[in-house]
Amino acid sequence: MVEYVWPSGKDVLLTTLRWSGGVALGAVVALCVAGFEALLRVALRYVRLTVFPFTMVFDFLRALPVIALVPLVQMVAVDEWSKFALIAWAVTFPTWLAIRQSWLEQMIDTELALKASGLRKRDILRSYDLPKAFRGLLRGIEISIGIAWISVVAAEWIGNLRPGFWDGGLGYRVEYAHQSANWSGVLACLGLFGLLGVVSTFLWRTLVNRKLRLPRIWSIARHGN
Amino acid sequence: METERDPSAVLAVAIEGLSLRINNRILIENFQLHLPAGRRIGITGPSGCGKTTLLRTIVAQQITPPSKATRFEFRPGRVGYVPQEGGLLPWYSLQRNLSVFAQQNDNHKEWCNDILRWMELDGVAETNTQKLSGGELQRARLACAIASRPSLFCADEPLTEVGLQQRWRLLKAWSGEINERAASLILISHDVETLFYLCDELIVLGGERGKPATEITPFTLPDQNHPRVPGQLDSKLIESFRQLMSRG
Repeated sequence: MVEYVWPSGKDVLLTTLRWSGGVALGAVVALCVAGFEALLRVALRYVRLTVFPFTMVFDFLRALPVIALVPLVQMVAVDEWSKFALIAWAVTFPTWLAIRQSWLEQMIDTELALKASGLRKRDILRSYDLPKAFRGLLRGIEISIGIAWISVVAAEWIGNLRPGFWDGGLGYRVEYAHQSANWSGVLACLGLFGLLGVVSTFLWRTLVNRKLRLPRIWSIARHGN
Repeated sequence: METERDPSAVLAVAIEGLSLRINNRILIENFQLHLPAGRRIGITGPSGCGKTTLLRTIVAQQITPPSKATRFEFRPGRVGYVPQEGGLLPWYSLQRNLSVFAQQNDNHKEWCNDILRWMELDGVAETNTQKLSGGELQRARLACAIASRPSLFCADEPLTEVGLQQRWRLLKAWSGEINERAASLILISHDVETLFYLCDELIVLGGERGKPATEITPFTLPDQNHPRVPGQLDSKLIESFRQLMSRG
């Protein structure tokens, strides 16, 4: 009984794996979507639009709550990929918004100085546009770290039809502890989620600051220009 | 309303009948500027009269409606823009910023090192531009403008936060570089000494408060040799120009 109501090391591992996969998948999707939107904006730059249709579609999709998607996912497929997809769904939109905001933000005098100095378009893209979008990606991932932990619980409520290695997770343990009225078990899971949030944010900042040697980009991403 | 014009001179900038508007507010009306190649012109006037907008329009070499002009022509070439703020790539070090601006020139590494030395920035070359002080940032902006080897400099209040002694040293070095490249200069400043030191002609933008700047007073300086000797500017002339400014 104890092993069902109390979280184990395996539960922490499984939840962390799902979280990592979801964040990575969501960041890649957000980057692809932002790139596609940028290309679309370039293609449509001479068309005057009151509302950009692409943005409207994404504003519609990002308003759908992750938890409300669980029944839909259960109707379609109950496997590990659907859990990754659900976490990625929650991560994609804030990351896309952050990249988009950075991309569209104009540094008027910098743009003017670069263009006036005779730089080619591809040099401006490399030195100005892409680093600007990259800092949006970093900002978006930082925001998404917390959102992904929230969505892990919703994703783990989908269930598992094939018991095995992937059977478990902190989200399950919260539900089991709740059903058996084990309030200390619920609190233990909540504490573990908080701890994982602190550790993951610390590791992310360390990775960006030290390993990637991008202190400046990180500083801008956190404090603005 | 119009600066002196020699019909035989090659013009770096030719602007006629420029009307600058932002959100249907007219900032400047019927502005004329004929800047021969190699000449230096200073523009001054009260705050908010549209000097920076005018300079940005010149740097962009493009008029956005509802602004309009009857003539808006530029000699082809690079423009070295020194803005009041921004103008740098905040994710790079100063050295990397210079390399970006200078990358189209031959031997640009040596060239960047020379500029860093002239601008007295060699000690902070590897520093990220976001960590530079106000004076260092102004020197960095000027350094980046010089790095692209432009034929026209457009500067908006450069070096105002730099100490007096150092400012004169840097202005002298910059003036020498403008001379050597036979470049033109459009300088916006409230600092009369800087305007007198660097420019051949001055324009005062003015007019009634709240109305478009229409009164443009040309003022040609007698001394046309560059670089001039710092501290030996004609104080009586400066005083008479200050009076002219106060009427603007």
